[in-house]
Amino acid sequence: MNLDAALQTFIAEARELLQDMEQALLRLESEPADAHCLAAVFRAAHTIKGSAGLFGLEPLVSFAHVLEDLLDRLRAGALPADRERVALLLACNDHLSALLEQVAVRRSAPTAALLAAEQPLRERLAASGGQAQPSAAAAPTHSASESRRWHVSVRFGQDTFRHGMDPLSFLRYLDGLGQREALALYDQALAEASPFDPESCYLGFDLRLQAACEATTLADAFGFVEGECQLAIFDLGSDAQGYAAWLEQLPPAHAQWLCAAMGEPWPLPQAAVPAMEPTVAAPPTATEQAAPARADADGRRAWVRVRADKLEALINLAGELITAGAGARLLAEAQGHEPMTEATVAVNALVEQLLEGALAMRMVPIGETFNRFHRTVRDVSQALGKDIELVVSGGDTELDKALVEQLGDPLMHLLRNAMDHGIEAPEVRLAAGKPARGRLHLAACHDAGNIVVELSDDGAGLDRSRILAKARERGLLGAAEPSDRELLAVIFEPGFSTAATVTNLSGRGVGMDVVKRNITSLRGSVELLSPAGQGTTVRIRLPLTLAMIDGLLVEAADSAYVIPLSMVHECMELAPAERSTLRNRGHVDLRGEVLPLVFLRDHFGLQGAAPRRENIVVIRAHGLKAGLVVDRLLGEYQTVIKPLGPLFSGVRGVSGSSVLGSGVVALILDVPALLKHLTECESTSFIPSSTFFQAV
Amino acid sequence: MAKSILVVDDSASIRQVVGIALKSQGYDVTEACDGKDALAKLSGQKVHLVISDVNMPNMDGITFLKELKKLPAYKFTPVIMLTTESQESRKQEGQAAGARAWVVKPFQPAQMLAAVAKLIAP
Amino acid sequence: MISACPAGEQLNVKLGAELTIYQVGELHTAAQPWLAQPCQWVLDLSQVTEVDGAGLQWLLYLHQHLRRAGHGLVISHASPAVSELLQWCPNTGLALAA
Repeated sequence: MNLDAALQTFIAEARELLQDMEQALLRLESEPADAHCLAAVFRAAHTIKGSAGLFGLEPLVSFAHVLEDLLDRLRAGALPADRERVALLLACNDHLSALLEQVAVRRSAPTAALLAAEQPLRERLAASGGQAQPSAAAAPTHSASESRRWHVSVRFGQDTFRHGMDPLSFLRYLDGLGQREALALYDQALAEASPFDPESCYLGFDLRLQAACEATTLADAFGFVEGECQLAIFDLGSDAQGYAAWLEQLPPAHAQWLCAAMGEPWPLPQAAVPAMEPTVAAPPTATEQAAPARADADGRRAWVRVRADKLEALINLAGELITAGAGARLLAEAQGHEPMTEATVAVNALVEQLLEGALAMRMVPIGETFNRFHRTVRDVSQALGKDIELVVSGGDTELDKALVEQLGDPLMHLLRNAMDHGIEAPEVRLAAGKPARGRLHLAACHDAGNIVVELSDDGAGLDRSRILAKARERGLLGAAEPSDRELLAVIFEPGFSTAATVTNLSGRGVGMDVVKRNITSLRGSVELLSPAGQGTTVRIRLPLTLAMIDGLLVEAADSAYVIPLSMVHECMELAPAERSTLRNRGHVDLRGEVLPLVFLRDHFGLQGAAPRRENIVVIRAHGLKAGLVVDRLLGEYQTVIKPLGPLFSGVRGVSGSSVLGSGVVALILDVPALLKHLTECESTSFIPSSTFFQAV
Repeated sequence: MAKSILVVDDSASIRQVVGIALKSQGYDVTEACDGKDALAKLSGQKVHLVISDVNMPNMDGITFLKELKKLPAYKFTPVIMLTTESQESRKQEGQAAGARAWVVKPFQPAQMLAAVAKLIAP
Repeated sequence: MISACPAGEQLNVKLGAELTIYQVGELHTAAQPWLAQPCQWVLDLSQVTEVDGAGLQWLLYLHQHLRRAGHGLVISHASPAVSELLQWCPNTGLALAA
């Protein structure tokens, strides 16, 4: 049996469970009595223990077991979930994570360090109310025994069938444990049944077999009908007397039947034997205590794990369907066949829904990412000696999985920044008449086809005068009085930092510009807001998905190109009279600003003469602006992005392709790369625009 | 004709491993992640054995059992409960609700197969 | 589920696909009129795909009941499932007709 795939499932599952457990523990810190959280924490440890056992991952099973013990008591209300216990449980959660990585992922034994870390945790768990020692592992070891002759006699209870049990299954199982010598199916009780109820069980059997096992193995076979059946097991080799005595006390007809069936004489030729207990007898019925059933409603939906590449393939296919459908529609319209046209329109509408559905599968709620930050805020605020809480809202806002993964780092940095520089120390806050506890608010929502993520703090807000002074000092701003937006945008410039002390946490001010770069590369934007006396807010806008693009379709030399709409500032005409002048000069005056020009035909070496009227598309990214000269503007266009194959890896300035309804392939321009190329071009003298601010 | 077994557990890895083990013995296996899912997947179809965990979200094992046993088609279907040693009371609850067989977690696949063999033929 | 067809001195009885705890209650009720007038039964079990301990018990009961009345029960045809079953009751007299 190959369990490798299953092991991978287990690892993914365990990681998720440990995350859930951490979340629940953090919530418990503020709500120690939250039964829901306690149940979730218990279930995580319980499930990990059970699954780890399947793969024989003893160290995990063992530690999870000790943990589960304490958690069971907490869940039952026998112990309170106070701060100290929760802190201990968080430490145990970390240890379980480490064990998982070492034992399941790396498939090695726990390191000495791990073992050393575990012992104090076990002691603390014991001190906190858990069991002192882990109970012994489950599987009983069978000592090798020699083959013996056994007689197993069982008479099943009347309710056996009603309980879903089948005497024949027990018989088959037992028979398989050794070599059969004799078998008799007991049907005497059946003959005496009056009235006969077909659903009641009157059967039994006597089996003689040679088996190299202990009596307990044979008895265990009947564990499920314990208390309902009469069981007698004899080792005929060492306990022939016991068997004889047992026979003696049976009703004579019964004993006679049995001996005949076993091929033995009856009565047995021997002297009176003292009555002895059979080797193993059926234990008394356990008293059944009805306990109230506990519903464990969690609201967790049923999930299906899908491989990412399969989803990509589906999305691609859906994208191609859209194109094919658009093509079909064009043909139908060209034929002038109305019913046909209507039919293709109907099909296209369905295909669009299909594509939306496929893309929606890549959407995950941002709450999962948000929730990971609770732990960070807790740890960092403690390290800083500040009291900060994180409030999260809009967690079920969904966005593309790829985006979510990329958003983690920038958000983390912004959070740390806010905690380090935004929120003041408790004494400072109190002196300012604020509550000692600082508040961070992380919120997400949808807005006009984008997702907006905001991080707000109720700290002192941005100090404009300091920013202005620093900006001037660094030559980022001139003598002219900048607008508030321009001023705050300067913060995203490389090398800018007004922090008096640079701490380990947020680094040397390289953070903000990197954050901005990360966000822009996701085709998003970031801005700062800081109304007087109301702390600071960072607002990030992102497209809902990276798989599709809102673009401006343009044409140059009969080739189609797509420019991401988020990077298009404006468009204007290029007067034919000015063309050669501007081309020689390499830039144009845009309302007092110098705008470098890129003639797409030149850039890509396109053939043919330019049309009389050309257009300039003003593009901007990463604080750089330029005018892209193209032939025609073909309008706004939303399309699925198809990645370029390896053949195009050397091509600069193109980031993907898209297939139009007409079947034509449009190349998607990589605007940041184009602009970067401009700055590196010696033939063009480039002066950065004075306006850095970007907003969608 | 292969006998069919329904495996109900919210842990995907347990379902996967138990499924592999059972299939290797020639059984048909259907999986469900909790009681509600299990009832939906049953929808009146014949199943020869149900293996169910106790602690599950949405509908736990005991509740699921009780619902199951209300349906005439499953009145006599054998049920194996998956319990842990710390849950003796659950075992009795399970018995009261109609599960007379159990396997203790953590278990090895071979232990599960042995339990199944005591209840139904391959 | 069960069909019976008198043939001279005997009753030819044929059972359906399932002979388990789920069917034995109904089967027993259905068979009452015939059991009230015992004769030799010839049982065709060729169509039985599923049989369990309760099914076997009922067959044993029929066998015992008819024997007590001076007749008997003989299995004329057995499906593979039934053949497998019969190996577990060698001493009961329930067997496939030779």
